[in-house]
Amino acid sequence: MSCDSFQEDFLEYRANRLSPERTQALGEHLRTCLTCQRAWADFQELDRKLASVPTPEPSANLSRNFYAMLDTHLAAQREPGVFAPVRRGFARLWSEWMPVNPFAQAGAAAALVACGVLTTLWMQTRRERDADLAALRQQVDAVTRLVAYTALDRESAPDRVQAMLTTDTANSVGIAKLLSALSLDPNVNVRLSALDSLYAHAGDAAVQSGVLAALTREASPIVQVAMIDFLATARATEAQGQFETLARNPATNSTVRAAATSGLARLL
Amino acid sequence: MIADTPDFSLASPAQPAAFAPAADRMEPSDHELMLAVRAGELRNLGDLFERHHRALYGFFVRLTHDRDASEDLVQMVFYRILKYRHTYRDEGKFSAWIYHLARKIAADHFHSRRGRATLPADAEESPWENLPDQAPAPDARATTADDLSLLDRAMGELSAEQRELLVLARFQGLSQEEIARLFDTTVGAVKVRVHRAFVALRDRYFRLRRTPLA
Repeated sequence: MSCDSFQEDFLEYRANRLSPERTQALGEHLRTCLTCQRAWADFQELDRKLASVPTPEPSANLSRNFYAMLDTHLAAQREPGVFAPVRRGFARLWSEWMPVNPFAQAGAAAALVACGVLTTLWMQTRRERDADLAALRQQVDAVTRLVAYTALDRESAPDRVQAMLTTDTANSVGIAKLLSALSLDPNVNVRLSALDSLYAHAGDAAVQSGVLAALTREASPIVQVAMIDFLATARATEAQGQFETLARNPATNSTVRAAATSGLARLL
Repeated sequence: MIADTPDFSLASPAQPAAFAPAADRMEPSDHELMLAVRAGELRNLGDLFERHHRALYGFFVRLTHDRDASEDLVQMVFYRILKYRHTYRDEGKFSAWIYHLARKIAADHFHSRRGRATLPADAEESPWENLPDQAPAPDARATTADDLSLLDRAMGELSAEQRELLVLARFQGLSQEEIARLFDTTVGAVKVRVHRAFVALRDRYFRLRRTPLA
């Protein structure tokens, strides 16, 4: 060790903070080194001068002002504001949970950024998944409609009746299929089922026209009566002429004539 | 003649009560008191004030040479302790924290003083002049008012950092570890810098003593 490193220990030795090993080494060095002996003597003299420097004493004003300040804070603490509990809770959380180490602060910031990125990715994935679900739902609806329309062409009457009841009337294609079945299907039950399904669109002028056209070709009295009731309920004034024809024609089924007469009364 | 081992019989420097050994003491430590203050028990700040305000006052007087301003600065330290009590960390040492606040307040003080056209009259007053009458230590009877004046002049010739290092190490009794934390450096660097400051003070003091007064 150099003389400088020994002399650097003087102050710590003087304050009784030097380790026993360093203290012993310093003592052994001082026995043999004249330079450090002179430095040690100078140090001791200067240290004595510094020790003789009186410690400055503050005036009584300092204590008085301090306790006045403390009393002010204590008074404010006794009468807290409305948000004081929230502020205290936040301050406690801040002091207990916020890292003070710069590396920990950097780590916390990185974790926060990572959380933000992951949240964004998760929301993006969720949006894509929702879009996929919507597309899938549309495809299922399309397949359902396709199955229904296909069922209209089946030979089996019960299948066709079922198809009438499940036809989606929310679009023009479904309504057209129903009107087509009402006019052309050979089975009475299928035609009645088609008419039942069209009730949801009885107010539609196109539907009324289609039912009226089917009525002129209809041969079954049961279906005729149902069609007359449909058109009368829908207040289809354009059916008035057809109702009069049926009511006045002596060849018409009596039940149909009675329904046509009743229908005319409801229209007028 | 030098002793075989370093002389332990030297008069101990006046150390602040806060840094006295804690053995055989049932009183709460500074750290425990500060944790209580942080938790809202503000009355404990009074105990911390009683333990530290004289040492802090000496610190500011030796740095600023201004007694009135030093009282205000001590008051400011305890005001900031109250204001920023929630930032006190469990792992922190109270002595390092309070001197960290004190150094920042002193820096603010010097910064504001630089903006003034003139310094107050008492700014040039020696911290070692006009002190209350105190009996000198037995081993310092030879120290005269001239010696104190020479020491004051020698201290005044040091750089601000050297003066602060000497005050912290010699008068405030901070360990090298605590000073290293304050200056954000290593213990080894503090050891060298404090030694150099002491040597600089010694050289200037003995040079002034050899120089006849004008």
